[in-house]
Amino acid sequence: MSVRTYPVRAALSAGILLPALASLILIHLSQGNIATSIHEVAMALFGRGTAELQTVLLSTRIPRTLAAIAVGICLGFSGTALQGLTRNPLASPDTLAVNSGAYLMVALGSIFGFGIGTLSGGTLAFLGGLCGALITLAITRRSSGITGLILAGTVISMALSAITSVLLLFHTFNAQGLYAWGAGSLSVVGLSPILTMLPALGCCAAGLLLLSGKLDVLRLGDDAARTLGERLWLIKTGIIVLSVGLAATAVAIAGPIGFVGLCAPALARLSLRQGAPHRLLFLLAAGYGALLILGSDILLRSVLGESDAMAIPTGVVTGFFGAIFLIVLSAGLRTGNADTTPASIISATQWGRQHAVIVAILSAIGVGAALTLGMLCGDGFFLLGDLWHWVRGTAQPFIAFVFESRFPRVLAATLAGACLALSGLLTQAATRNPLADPGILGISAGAGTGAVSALVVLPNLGFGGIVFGAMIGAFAAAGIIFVLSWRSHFEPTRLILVGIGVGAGALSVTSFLVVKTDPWNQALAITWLGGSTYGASLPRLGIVAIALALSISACAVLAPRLDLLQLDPDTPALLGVNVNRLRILSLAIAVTATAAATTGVGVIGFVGLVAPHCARSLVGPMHHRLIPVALAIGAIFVLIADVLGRSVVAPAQIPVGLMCSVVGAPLFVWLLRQRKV
Amino acid sequence: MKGHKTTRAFFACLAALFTFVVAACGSTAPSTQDRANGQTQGKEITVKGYRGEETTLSKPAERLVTLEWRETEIAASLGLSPVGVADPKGFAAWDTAVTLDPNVPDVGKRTEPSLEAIAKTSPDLIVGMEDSIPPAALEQMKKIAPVLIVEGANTDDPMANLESAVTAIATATGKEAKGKELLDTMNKTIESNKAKVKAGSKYVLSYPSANGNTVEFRLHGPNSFPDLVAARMGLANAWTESGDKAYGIGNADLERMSKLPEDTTVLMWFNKDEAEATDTVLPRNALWNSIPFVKKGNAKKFGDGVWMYGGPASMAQLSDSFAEVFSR
Repeated sequence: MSVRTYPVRAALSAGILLPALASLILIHLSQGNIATSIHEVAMALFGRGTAELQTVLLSTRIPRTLAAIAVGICLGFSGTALQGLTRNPLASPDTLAVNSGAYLMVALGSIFGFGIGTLSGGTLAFLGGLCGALITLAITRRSSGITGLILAGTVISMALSAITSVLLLFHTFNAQGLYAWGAGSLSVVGLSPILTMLPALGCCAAGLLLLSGKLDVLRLGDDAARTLGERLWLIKTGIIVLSVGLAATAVAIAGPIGFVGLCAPALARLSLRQGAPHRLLFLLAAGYGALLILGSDILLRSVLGESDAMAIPTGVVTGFFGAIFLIVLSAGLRTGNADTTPASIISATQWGRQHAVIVAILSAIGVGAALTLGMLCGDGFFLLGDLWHWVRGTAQPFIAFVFESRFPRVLAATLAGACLALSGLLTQAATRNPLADPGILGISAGAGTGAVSALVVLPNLGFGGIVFGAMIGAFAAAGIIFVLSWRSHFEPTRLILVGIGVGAGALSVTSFLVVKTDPWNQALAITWLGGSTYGASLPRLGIVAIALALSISACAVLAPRLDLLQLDPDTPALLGVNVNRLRILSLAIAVTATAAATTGVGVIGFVGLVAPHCARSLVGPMHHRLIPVALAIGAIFVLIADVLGRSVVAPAQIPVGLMCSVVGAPLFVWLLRQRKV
Repeated sequence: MKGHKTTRAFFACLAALFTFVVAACGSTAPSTQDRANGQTQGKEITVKGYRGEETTLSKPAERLVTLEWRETEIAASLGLSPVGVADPKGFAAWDTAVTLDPNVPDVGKRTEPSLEAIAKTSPDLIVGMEDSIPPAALEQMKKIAPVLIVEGANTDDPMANLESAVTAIATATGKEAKGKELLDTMNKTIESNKAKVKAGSKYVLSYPSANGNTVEFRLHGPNSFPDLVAARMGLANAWTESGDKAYGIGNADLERMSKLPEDTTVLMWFNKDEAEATDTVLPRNALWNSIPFVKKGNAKKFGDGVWMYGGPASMAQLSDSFAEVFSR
């Protein structure tokens, strides 16, 4: 392949891209509440329109279109630079926590009243984005590979978004709208916000173009680059600062718009050959970025109509399509680390293996203690004596009431924690992937989407409908993930990335449904976007308990075969285990348990990841020891998250799902760092 | 990485858990066996809730917990002092028709009130609104005290909606006369203000909100609470889209706003505690400045501290505010 083919392919791509962009821009400009034809808009652009149309174009439509283009350029450049720098096709401002860091900082700024206005907003966004990126890069230094970086980034991103959600939940009147949930919007008013950010955009983009030759060198690997006399740290620092600057510019203009920074560079790479110079990649990615955002916005407005489309931020749409893109991209990805590994990351001590019964008993007592604590703490604290009076039925009415109202919540937390732990354990064992978990894989999010769809489409079915919807949603999400990963024998990277994509897609569908049908119903949003034990009731928990009991018994039967599955991919088959049937069976149990947990408390993440690993590090990888300990730890984890959520800001409460993200993300990152590479 | 670190961490966590539990020995109150139980008996009161379900009280309620701002306002207007209010700080900022005791206990967010905080105030009646509380939480609330659920906001008949809420709360608290008086006062205020304004004046009531660089107008459609007052005063709502089913609110962007009739007066609801689009983003926008009603100075800030979805006192306040703008 000669170098000369690049200009040809680039010219070809540009030849397609530019007319496409031009027509999308015209369509975008012609969309609006005042009916205008493309022809009129085109005439007006050349100064031959009515004065009224000129004003309309200048004050709302051109800003909106320019915002789309500017954000597209920023994200295209930023994504390309981050991917080149990390030599990772999945790096992007989303997956490296730049977007969520920037948005958290902007939210902090607006809540605590510092930095109002676009420029200071831009500075805040830059600082936040830089923090997000640095945290991600710092913690993944030790674990190598594509997955490590992306996983750490995604998880930090989840935690930062959870913090933003909590803040907005408590501080703004406007938090009732979806904007609070952090999807970007293009309804920019006036040119000034864009003009203010233009110098930043120009400088950073120009800087990256200047550094594009260095990115080409970096592609050879750090050592080769060093031999060529490059000062690596200087180059890398420069690239990080510039790309974060661009992502922050995008956030300052329109808020976090998801996944464009991932898709645009990928499209650019696809249209050039492997090893194309970054100079070309940058320009093409910028074009594709603009194309994606304009396209999403046009689609949203033409499908929903102007008035309805207003309530839905463009970021929800790019998030949805970006998620599909991520799924497709990862499904076809050659990751290099094709081997699945046993689910164990941390080896247990000798003592733990030999005294598994003691550990199990202690963890069971631990659940008891956490349960007790959950009963005692909340909005007001009680003592054991009070609890004793309640158990004997002699407590004073107020105290009795408090315990009665806490009991279903505590029980819900326990059951959901156990369900999710079991589900995580099974998913990890069946896919031989230490990082698989119903939350990360988007199965919980799928269950949530199913439940909300049932609420919206069949409101009369009540709780039965929710259960049914959650099951369908969870199985659909799992189906997509596992069908796409089956052929690659659950190659770990691919599985996780497809899962993250499915989760993001499901989340954007849920957001869409909530905003579209019942925008003022915050309770709906909290439960299905954040996870909450509020309003848990004993009869409903019965279903969860039954599902848990069935799953545990099934799991106990499967345990010896699951142990065999951990040995290596071939031994179980030699020993007469039907590996595929075992996998399907365990995954079905896992999905059922996840759906059950979701109907009980909404969408909660990280439990299924953290609990099994803690259990493995205590009692080793044999499932008959592992199951009880993992169940107990999962229950304790959610119980404690719930207690904290109920007591720290009482009488207000933080949804337990958000607490789990805030507590679970650091734990996950720690696990990631312990991984044997 | 060896497991001993995790093992140690695990035991440390367990130890911490046990310490907390052991630290919680004792009890905060004696058991009921140590206390005599006394109940007073009086004439029973029965109130009908929004679906006709009956709430029975042994005597007029005195200790009210109110879970929505409109109900809080109604209770205060009736001369009661609620013993617990959901989000009293927000109430004070948005609803100035009545003043609450600044020390009234906060029972949590309006959408997720804390059952324990409610129980702590030992109320004899909890007043909430349809759909604002999950059914399971409602069941538990009934164990604290009788719960009166008034009909949620809806655009079918907002006046009947408001009247039924006032009547229900007034009946439950034995203040029927006062409740009637409240509604009468409101009606009289609206009537007298009707005489003051130019009939048929076109208005639009919007809540412009700016998020970062974006701006959006929430507009109150026909049969929204504020339109109920305006319509009775003879004002004409220039925003005719029906909006959502509960509050009758729709969305518009700048372009949509520019299409409103030229002689409309655009009222922009604001709150002094919030960052205002009217001060930051709008004045700099050419399209906004080119709209006829803006040029004529007919886009006005409106109704600081008037809760548009409030009780009779708020509606009277709202009517006064309308009268001020549209006086002949």
